[in-house]
Amino acid sequence: MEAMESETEQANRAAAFREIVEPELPVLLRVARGLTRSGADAEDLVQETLIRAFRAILKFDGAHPRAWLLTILRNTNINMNRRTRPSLFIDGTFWEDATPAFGDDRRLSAEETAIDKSMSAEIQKGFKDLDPRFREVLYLVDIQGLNYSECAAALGVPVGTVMSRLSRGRKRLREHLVKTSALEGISK
Amino acid sequence: MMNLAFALRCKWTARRLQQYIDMDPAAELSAKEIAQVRNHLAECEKCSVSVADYKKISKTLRWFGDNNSPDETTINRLKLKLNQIAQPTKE
Repeated sequence: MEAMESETEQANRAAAFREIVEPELPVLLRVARGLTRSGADAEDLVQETLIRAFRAILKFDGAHPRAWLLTILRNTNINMNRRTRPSLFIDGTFWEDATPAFGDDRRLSAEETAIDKSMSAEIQKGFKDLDPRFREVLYLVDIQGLNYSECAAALGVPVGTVMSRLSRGRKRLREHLVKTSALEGISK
Repeated sequence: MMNLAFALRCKWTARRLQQYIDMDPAAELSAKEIAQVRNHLAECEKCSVSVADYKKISKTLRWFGDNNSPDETTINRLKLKLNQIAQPTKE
């Protein structure tokens, strides 16, 4: 009887884990891609993260699953790359993957189609020229859509640091776009 | 000519613009602060242009994010892996 209960509990835990984690797979993969700069390495990192998260699921309080998973992802990346790549993060090369093929299943809005190529080139340049500390925060919040707490979890820094870097990074990106008149190419 | 009180409101608002734009749950402005920001934006072209610019930049960056979604094949492989990992262990 006890063994049956244990199996039921395990099955429930496994189902809950899948339910919590599955919607977060795209975000985990995108952040992992930013961390590793490689599609294959990103997939390995996410797989290892899933294994560690499942082992730790009993300690998870159920609140903020994305932040919890991103914390595990960050720590897993540190552990996996301690010997070979001590410090990696967003270098701006992800732009090269932003091909229309990825967006085949969605319709572009009128605003989106107003984003012209010259502005696109300038925003990429401005982004790549940012201090890496600012770039990684802009990548996670503005590009990947994480909130401040999730971004803080992914980077292992306080929310106040995220806010400060975000503000300074956006300010510098805006200065670059104003200087190059690129903002005029974007509709409001 | 910008008077001192206006300049101080500008500076006060500038420090809160990102929070005003993001409305993030971790750093929400109070209702009073939101009203003060809105009042200032209504009278300050410089700050209202800043807000418009930041919104354009955020929208554009998000567009790049949306068009850089991981491919379905990789996501499906990870779903399979997730199912393997989250298997109840048989005694």
